[in-house]
Amino acid sequence: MSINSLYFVAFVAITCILYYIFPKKMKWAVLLVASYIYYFLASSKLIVFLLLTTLSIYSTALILGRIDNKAKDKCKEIEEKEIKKKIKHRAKTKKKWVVFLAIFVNFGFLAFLKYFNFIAGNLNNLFELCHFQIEIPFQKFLLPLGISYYTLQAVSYVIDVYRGKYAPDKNIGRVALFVSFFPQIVEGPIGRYEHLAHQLYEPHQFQYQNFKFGVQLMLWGYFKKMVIADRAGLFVNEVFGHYANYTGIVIIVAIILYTIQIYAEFSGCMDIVRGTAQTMGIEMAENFKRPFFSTSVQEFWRRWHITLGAWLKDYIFYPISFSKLTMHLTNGAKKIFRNTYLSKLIPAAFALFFVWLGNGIWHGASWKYIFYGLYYYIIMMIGMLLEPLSNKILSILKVNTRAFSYRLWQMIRTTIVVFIGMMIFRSHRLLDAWKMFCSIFTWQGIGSFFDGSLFNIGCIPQDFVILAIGVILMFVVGLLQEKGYHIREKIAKQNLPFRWLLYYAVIFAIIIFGVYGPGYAASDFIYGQF
Amino acid sequence: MEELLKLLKKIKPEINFEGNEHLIDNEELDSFDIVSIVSAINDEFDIEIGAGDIVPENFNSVEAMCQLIQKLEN
Amino acid sequence: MKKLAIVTKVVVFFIIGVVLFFLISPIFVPKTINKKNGFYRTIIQGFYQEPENSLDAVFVGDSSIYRAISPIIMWEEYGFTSYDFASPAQKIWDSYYCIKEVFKYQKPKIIVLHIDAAFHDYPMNEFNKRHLYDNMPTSINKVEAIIDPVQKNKGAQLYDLIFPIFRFHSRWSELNSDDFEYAYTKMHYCSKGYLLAKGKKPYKGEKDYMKKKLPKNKLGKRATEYLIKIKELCEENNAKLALIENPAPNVWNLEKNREITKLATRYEIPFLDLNMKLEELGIDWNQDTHDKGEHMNLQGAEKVSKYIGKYLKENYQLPDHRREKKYEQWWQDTSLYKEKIRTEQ
Repeated sequence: MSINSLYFVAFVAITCILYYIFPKKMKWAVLLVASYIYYFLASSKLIVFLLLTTLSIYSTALILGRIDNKAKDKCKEIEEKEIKKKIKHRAKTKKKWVVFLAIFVNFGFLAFLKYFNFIAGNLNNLFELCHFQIEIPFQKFLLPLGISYYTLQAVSYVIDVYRGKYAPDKNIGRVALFVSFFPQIVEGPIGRYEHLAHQLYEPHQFQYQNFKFGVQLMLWGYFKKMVIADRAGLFVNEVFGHYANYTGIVIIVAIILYTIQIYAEFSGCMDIVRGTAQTMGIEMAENFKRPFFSTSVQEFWRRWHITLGAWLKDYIFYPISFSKLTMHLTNGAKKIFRNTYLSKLIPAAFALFFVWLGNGIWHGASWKYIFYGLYYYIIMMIGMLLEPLSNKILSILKVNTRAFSYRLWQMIRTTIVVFIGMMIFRSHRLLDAWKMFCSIFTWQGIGSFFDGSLFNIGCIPQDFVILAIGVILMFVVGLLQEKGYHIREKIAKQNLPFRWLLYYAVIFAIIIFGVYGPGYAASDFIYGQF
Repeated sequence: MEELLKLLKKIKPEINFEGNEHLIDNEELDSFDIVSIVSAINDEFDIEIGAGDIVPENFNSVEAMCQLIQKLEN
Repeated sequence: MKKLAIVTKVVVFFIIGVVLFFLISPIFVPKTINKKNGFYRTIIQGFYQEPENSLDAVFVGDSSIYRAISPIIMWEEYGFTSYDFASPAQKIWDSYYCIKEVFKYQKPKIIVLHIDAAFHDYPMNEFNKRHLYDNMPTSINKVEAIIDPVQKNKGAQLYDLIFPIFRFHSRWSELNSDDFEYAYTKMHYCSKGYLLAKGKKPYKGEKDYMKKKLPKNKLGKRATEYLIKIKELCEENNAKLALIENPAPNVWNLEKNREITKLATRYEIPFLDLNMKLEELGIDWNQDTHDKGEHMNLQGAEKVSKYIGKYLKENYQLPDHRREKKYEQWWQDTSLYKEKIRTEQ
């Protein structure tokens, strides 16, 4: 049941109706049952992994709570500060082991199912290099739906309980729903317990505005996904699939279109997911905030796949930044570089390395993705290293960094960096990305732009018209949001005929201009029998 | 409070900390700043702010940071 | 009160949306209304343009019907009115739903069903389904026909057939004036379902083809089931049912004739096998087929039509409307038909 099928729409509609029909105390159960049905339809037996993750984090959190309570009770009876400290320390060590085990088990599932073949392949290569006679056979694992997303969500819950951010949840239904809520399970957003779990569990009365805004958001999402992203995909698939046949301009266009595709697709799906939740009064975290208005790569990643970035920040960047190892490193750096810019940079560089390595690995089990993460790491490091220098140059040249033109230049620069990142992300192998990148500089194929052959690669010229209109629409919407307009509230203030006309226009634009179904070849059709 | 303010100004001289209650929400402080601030506070006040304490509510204003330090000192 | 207002609003929005949906959909359905695309839409939609209860006989079945039976010829000769409600490769269950459709608009005295399809027990391919159902107006009967398990329509195929816009939306870039013009206007079809073929490609197989062996000559279980349903349906509507097999040297033989005869006797349905009457018809296999014996050409169709016309006239006491004022249109159609035969290649 893919998110852009009529089945999904029907599933959401039925769930939504049942949600509002059922009595208050049962509403959360409707969501849980719907989520499990959804998951079972998609993954059947593999639902076991979801259940294991749910049970493991639920029980781990309870154990963490019990250790805490026991330590507190003991402390109450005892007066001496020293012994109190000891008890606390012992409890902390215990907790550390428990939480470590839970993380290990959950990431273990993920690592085993998703990365086994990647690791095995690399080990085999290594063995061959060392002339060992060992070969690890590849396994065919089916990946449970959304495991990369729900594992992060589940792990964040146990770590937060361990850190004492909130008390462990005694209600297993709430924890299960938090992990499995069906709109988010496929592609996120990666929710946080403190923000999401109670919202899912508490009953929401029907509110027309929520319902309306939710449906509107879904429609906009479907428009982006089906009209823009899938259409751009026609061209992109052709060029990336046969990149050796294309050079220069065509490759550039393909990279730009792919970036448009992945943005429209991912942010579109997020709108569908968030819209679905909103129809039931649930507000989910935003995952995109107009990333192409960013003036730096750092900013881009604060506005692109926000919940992943936030997860990596909270559970990789900060822990590593405050680890003893990093402290030593900082002190060492201070001794060598004194109190210069470099001494501040080194600990950040150290922690960031793991963030971007994690980002890369999380996206997929291949060197391509690891390089994709490290590409951003390198760009960011270069930027940070050169910052004092570039600041100096800017001040010597008296560049007005607040001018629109300067910010525009920064945006373009950032976008070009992102384009290259996307090229790596989309290509089949790292080597392909490199070959594609090199072939850009032949600058061939400008003619294809003028004789129109460019517009017939994988699609037809009319597709480019629709694409252009779609992208302009996306841009205008983005610009208005950037200026602080709440578009759905603005629409709500318009008169009914305009509003309805707009809704129908979007609905029929999706039905007609959406890219879906088996396609139509007139010649096949006319050939009936006889 | 005074001490903390001095410390913060040393790390980020370009930011106006006084009366500012949205240091994180308005993205005036990024994660690198947080790391330097936390390490400096840890050194200065001899406490241990962990990764778990780093939530926007604890760093949105100087007062909030002060409260966090007091909580951890006890 | 507020709740009621919201519910009303949502319902009205939904209804307008559905109306718009059904208004827009027909634009996207391919218009098989000319020689290049085939005349499948013309045949089906022309049926609905006939005045209610004006047809005395209706022929139902596959291409053997619309290639061999010309209602205008029978009109000229015998004065009764008829129509070929047929589509390519139609199966017996499709014929059942077609006949249901016929009884919604007409009270024919006789339904003539082409029986070759009784040996087929698998559904039509998607395109042939579309040549029939996409051109039929939406109704409960049509939906029943599509969701009938015997059609083996599953998942997207199912709702694509009921809502063809989901299948043909990508035609947006190639829509032409025909698509808009013939989206809503149903065409009057002067040939009454008959599809003209003038070409000649002789059949060169054995003369005595009834004696040859064929790989498939078992009656379909489901086809038989639906044949019985058709019989009951005709009885309910006070219409007679007759089975025919038009001359078909490539797919017909004596064994098949016997199978159908057995079946027809058992259920008391008259069966007319024209393959047994070739001499009476005067079929010349060098002259009368346009595709090596698969189908009749114009010349063959004239022979078959005259024979069947006479057969029906004599056996079913069909009326003669030729002098009735009410049937003036049929004379106009006759001249249009003749013009068509004269001009079309």
